[in-house]
Amino acid sequence: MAALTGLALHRASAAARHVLWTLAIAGCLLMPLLMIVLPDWRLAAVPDLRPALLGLADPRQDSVRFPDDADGTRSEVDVAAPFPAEIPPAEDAGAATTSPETVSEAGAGAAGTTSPVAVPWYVWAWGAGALAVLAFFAAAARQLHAIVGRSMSLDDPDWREDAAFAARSAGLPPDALRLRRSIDSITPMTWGVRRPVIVLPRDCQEWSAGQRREVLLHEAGHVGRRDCLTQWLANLACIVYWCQPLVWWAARRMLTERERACDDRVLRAGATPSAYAQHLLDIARNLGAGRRSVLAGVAMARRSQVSGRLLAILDPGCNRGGPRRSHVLAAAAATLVALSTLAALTPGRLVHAAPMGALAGGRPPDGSDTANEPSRPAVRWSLQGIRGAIDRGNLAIETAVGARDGEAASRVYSNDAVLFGMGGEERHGRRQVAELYASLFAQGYRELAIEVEETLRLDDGLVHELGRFTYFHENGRTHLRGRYMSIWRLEDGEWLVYRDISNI
Amino acid sequence: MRHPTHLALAAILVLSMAGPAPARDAEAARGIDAAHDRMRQALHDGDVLALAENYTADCRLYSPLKPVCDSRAELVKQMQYAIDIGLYDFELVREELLGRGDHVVELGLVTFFDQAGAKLSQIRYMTVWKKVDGRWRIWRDMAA
Repeated sequence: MAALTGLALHRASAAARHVLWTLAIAGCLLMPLLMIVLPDWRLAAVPDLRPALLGLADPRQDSVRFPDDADGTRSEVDVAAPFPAEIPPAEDAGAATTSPETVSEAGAGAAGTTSPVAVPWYVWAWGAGALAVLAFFAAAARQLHAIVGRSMSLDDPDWREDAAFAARSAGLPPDALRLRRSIDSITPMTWGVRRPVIVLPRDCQEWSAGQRREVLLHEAGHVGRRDCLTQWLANLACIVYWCQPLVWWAARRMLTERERACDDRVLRAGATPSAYAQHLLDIARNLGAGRRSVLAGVAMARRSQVSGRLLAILDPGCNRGGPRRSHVLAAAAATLVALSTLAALTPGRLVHAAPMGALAGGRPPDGSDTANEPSRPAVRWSLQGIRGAIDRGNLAIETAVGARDGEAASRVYSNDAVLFGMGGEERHGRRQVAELYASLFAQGYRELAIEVEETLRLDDGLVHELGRFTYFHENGRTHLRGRYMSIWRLEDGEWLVYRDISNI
Repeated sequence: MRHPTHLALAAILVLSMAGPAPARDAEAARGIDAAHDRMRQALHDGDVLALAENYTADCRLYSPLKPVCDSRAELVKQMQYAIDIGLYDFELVREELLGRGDHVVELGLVTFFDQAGAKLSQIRYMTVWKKVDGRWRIWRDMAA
């Protein structure tokens, strides 16, 4: 969106475009916070773009959707789709197989040991990349800090006088600019957010008065515009979104427009374009030590940008105006609204939901029964992840039946599970579920085969399952076959059977 | 900035994607209640087609000791049979309505009556309702 708006603003001033890119960078950083803070807006037929916006390849994102109706509408119905072995469920990190041993262990009482909070591989990958980028920026900052540490205060009266003039032109107090002369051959740069320092190259005192004034006007522009702060925001965005090339591109665009905006300030103050271009070229030519350090600070000249800046400086038709404060505020407000909207949008049925109310003996009241809603799941499970959890749960039940262990089977059910069987038979809670299985064992049923036909996500914490079951009798002839529908509920990161109905 | 309207326009474009605010839970409950009322009226009228209108085209019904009903023709046939044996009315006790969105699951107890008000049977049910074309219809149904 920022890129499109940037195209629309191609005739606007560099300062205006810098505002745009700064807002884009700030928006990237704000987005995750807004997604956490803002409530969901349900929106049908819009895919979940947020992982893509964040630049994260999220294995949990829903990728299996099937048309389930003649009208072409799509729903999150997983129709008898086997759990794809090549896509390990995110919640199963460290136990990517559903080997009999694994399930047997779950059936013996460790059904909840496959924790969904286990850190998946992509989080590690992101963390490693972010740390690498952080280390790079930290090294740059350290190098710049060393350059500043080796520098000396510059208190020459001519410099002080021009610094006061430049400060006033940038809307700063006359003594706001702290000047230091480096012992290194560097490009002039500004460093620091709270108390910015302008660091000048060692040969700066050989500059002409015009060049001195232009450099100070340029750097004062950075101080007045608080470019060091926006530079840190850009660096932070690059660390967080290191795998998102658009963020790097936006940061680079922001940097380019920032320098051009300060060039425009110099020219607005009366500098001759050709002379200023020559001075900029001289500075770029002498750029020596500490090239990496310019990434941490706000450097006046980077060789990669010089040609474009020279063309802009020499372009008589270039818009060099600064944005009005009211326009900046309007743009910031519009961005915030757009970001909030994007952050709050929730596609289709991927919204938080909860039981609408459990009212024995009556209909739910109109709209306000939320007392029984469980807390919102901390993570959104993919269909594959849910299906994998349900498959493991069913396998645990099958294994428990094979082991004639009703207690183990009952652990796949929630504490407040209710089972409805033929003839109005009801079982409440794990103890009665275990008793039900024990009664089946007593009747001679030894093996159970469960075949899942459909799973349907009702909300983030509830899934409907439809399937067939077959109990095999020990006599080898009498089998009990039937259908079941179950509601699985996510409880403390574990999918458990919450409601079940079956018939034959 | 010369053209702040561009940013405002972009924001409006994004906002225009937002659509209506989330439906309240009660909307599903009301819609399902309305479907129940329509089904009850269709039973009173002996209108099998009107009854079948309350099911999705791809519905599947799992009744005890009966084959799966998974076609419109089979659905109409089963309903006609139910009317023929005297089914005239039913009374629902909804115990739970689970989920949000276009699918919700209703659990409860239903009692069937003949025209004289005599109780025919009482069964537990779990019904998956699906909102199609603005109306809630039965998508999956199982009785026990």
